[in-house]
Amino acid sequence: MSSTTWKERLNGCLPAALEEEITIFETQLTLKRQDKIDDKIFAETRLRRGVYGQRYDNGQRHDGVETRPLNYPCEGLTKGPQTVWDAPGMQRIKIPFGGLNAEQMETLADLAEEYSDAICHVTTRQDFQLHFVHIDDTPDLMRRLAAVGITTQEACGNVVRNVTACPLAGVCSDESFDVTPYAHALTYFLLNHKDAQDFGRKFKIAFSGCTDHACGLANMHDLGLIAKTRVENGQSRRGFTFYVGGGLGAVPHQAQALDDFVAEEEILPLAQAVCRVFARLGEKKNRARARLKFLVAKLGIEEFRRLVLEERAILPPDERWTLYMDNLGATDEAPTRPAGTLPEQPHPDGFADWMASNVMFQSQPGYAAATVCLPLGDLTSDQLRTLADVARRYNGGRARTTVEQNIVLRWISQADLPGLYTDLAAVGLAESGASTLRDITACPGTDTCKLGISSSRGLAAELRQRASACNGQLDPSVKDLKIKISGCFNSCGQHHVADIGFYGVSRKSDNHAVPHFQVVLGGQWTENAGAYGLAVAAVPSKRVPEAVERITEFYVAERQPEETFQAFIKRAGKAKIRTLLQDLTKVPAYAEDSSHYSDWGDPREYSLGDMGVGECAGEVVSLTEFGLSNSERQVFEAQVDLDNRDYDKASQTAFQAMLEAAKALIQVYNIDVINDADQIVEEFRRRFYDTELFHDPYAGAKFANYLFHAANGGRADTSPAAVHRRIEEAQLFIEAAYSCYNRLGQRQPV
Amino acid sequence: MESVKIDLKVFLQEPADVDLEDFIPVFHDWIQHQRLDELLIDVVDYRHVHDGPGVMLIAHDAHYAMDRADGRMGLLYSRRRETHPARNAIQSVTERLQSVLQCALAACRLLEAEPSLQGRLKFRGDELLLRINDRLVSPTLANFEDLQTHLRPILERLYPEHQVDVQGCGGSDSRLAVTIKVDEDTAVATLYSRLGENIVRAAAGS
Repeated sequence: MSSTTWKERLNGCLPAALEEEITIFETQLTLKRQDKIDDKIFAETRLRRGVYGQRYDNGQRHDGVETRPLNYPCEGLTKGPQTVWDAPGMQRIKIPFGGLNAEQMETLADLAEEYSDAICHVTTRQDFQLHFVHIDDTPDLMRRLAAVGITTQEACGNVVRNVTACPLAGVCSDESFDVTPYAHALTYFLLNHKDAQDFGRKFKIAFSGCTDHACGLANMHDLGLIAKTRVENGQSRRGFTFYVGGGLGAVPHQAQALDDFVAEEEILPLAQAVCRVFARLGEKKNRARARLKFLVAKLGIEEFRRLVLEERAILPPDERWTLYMDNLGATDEAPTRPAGTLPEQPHPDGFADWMASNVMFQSQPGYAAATVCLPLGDLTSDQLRTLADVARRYNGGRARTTVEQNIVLRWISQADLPGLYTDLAAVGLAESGASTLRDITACPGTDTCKLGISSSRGLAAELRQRASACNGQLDPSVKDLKIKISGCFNSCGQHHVADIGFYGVSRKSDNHAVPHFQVVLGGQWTENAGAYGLAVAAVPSKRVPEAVERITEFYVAERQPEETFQAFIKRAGKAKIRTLLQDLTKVPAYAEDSSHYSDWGDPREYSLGDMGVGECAGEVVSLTEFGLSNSERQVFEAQVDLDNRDYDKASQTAFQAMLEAAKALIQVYNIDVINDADQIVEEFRRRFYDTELFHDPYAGAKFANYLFHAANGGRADTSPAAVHRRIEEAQLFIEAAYSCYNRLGQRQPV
Repeated sequence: MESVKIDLKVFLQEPADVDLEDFIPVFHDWIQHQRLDELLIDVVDYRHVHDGPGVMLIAHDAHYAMDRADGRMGLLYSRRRETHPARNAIQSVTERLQSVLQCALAACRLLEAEPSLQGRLKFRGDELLLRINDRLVSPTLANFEDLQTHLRPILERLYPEHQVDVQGCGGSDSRLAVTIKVDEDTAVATLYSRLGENIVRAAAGS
């Protein structure tokens, strides 16, 4: 049978830039296996391709009795600090603004089967995640994604993460205009942008089409853009209210308006200017205070605005800032079925409930958007493949993931809704209750996250089951409440903006650790995450369902007419709620009821022993360190070229490696160095040779001269011996660059 | 067929008197007491997903799932890689298939004997689903015939004196898959013992 590889099979099917990118990553894997890349640099390198760590990747696991080693066969090989090579990992896959087509859905389904566990997980940032993936499989996985137009680049690490947007953008009757083309443009403008590579932490961006609703959650992002129009000289102009410095995490911050109205043609350069200020002034050492929100809070919005505008003023013009505006319709989705009206009854069983909670009529008459509810954000490969097929039939194969971990099918003819419902129901995807109490958001928690403290997914599954069981009896006032759960204080489950939020904590009782959840009340989902809730009490995990019941019953009994849950909590006061929950905070003695000493869906006695070092914060790796690491990879590639007797290529690659190292050093002083050989050599000479900064204490200018010699025509000699020598010289030049960088040490400008 | 990625599903006799939740403590216990000759890593709960992998036991070389795909529950053994020292000797497709069957049947046998399940589940020995979980191996007629050729000596061992029906069943997911059906049910413990020693070396010896 077949013996081809995916690289061979997909040859010519990928964009050249992505193929090169993936090949580079493959080479880095090879170098890491040979222990030629530092752990920290490799960790950030893979994170920037979405290759993330997972629980138990430190090579041990608490089995309920004791912590035991997991003896992976890789014999000491690591893929980052305290991260074992062979341990299963998570692959995060960016889906900009959640937009997917049928072919992409089918590919994701295939990859989940072959490399993961046949489950496709939608995250709270519209990404997909596959778990239990081996790092050796990631290049093929990336190639197969790239072949259908998906990149995993910058899905993790200290970079711009997936740009999210309202899943109803373009079809919502409340929006000012469709934000999709802007989200798309900003995504690809900042992807791999040199000004977005040197952050101390990650950077999250969201777009929203309107101010009032929650879909974009702009207020909780580093950069939040809310669509707005303004009449100028009698003409309607598009723009955005431009928010900065929002974020959840352990210390949530509301974003602040940098500018009430930024014209559409200005959003890319202004975002670039924000990135430059963040890269230049953001915290790099204290990881807990390295997000943009801390910089904005430290400087104050006035000073931050001044710095950003100052930066904006000196930015060299870039045609990409406005090029996309010539074709704003490129991301439009056209209907493939004629508009229609909902047929008269009879309708299929369950259809009415589904219509009420999962279907929204679009601004375009005769069309609707239908939400496919995914329990805990999960669906099987079979379901995703069927969904692709269903989407093809009803709307041309388009879908959008949501931050509530669901999928929306838009442009459904209203006449087709019963048929769509029936087709979805056939594969268990027609569950009603989207955006209601049953539709619970949860981060991975202790299931797979190294930082998880309590089982957020276990609790979500339990609450969901209970809410579904009593759905018919739920009071209308609680039906639409939002529950969001994080496994720890880091807020990946977005608990701060839920009506009832939870985050995992641990408490000690009867000499045993007990999983708990802090109950967070008062958060506001609407108005783009308009307010954050506060913790009122820590309740043992197993008693959280009782706590939910008690809080909702209290609300139903005591609320005033039309009073929202958030207003009610404010009026009732957190002290009263705390008293209400007081008895539930008690943990029975171990001998009396040991069930409280294990978590939902996990019979092991609870322990914090499985927590590891998280990778959310990535590794702080400077541009120079990345550049030097890249130059080493290029030398390796030159050696491979030499082995293949491709002397011209080997000579050129060795020269490129020296240039890359020189450029990396220059970036200590000037991140805007132009990617041109002559200019790099000239600037290197001025900054490092003339100043003798590069000079070796013993060999003097010897290594710098290798670069000058190659640049001055020396590389034209491509005899095997000359090329061999050039590769050795390149290696020595890179070593000298490392030494120089170390010597510069504290002299680096901030 | 060079791929190591092979799935084998052994179906449960219906109706099974077990709840998927029952498998969670069992799989944790397997990890704690190293019940399988594998590097066992973790248990994953996917009960909330419709017709999904149910409850999974994640191992380094393979996943074991109490799978409900197509509405039929069974143990799905899904091999991912071959790093276990016992698999170093695998040099042919037939040996690989035998090894996959051994692992799957060993897990089934263990589940049937699991005290906490109190004999409430029994696997069917008369129907198996075998799938190459690798789309580099297309579901072509040539590959189907190749797979059949490699399977034949194993099936002769498993089901001596029985007519075995092997049908291609690759669906819309582009994977090469076959169902193996026999006219008589046989206990999985019996099937496991019939697999015996390495089939290729035994043949060479004879």
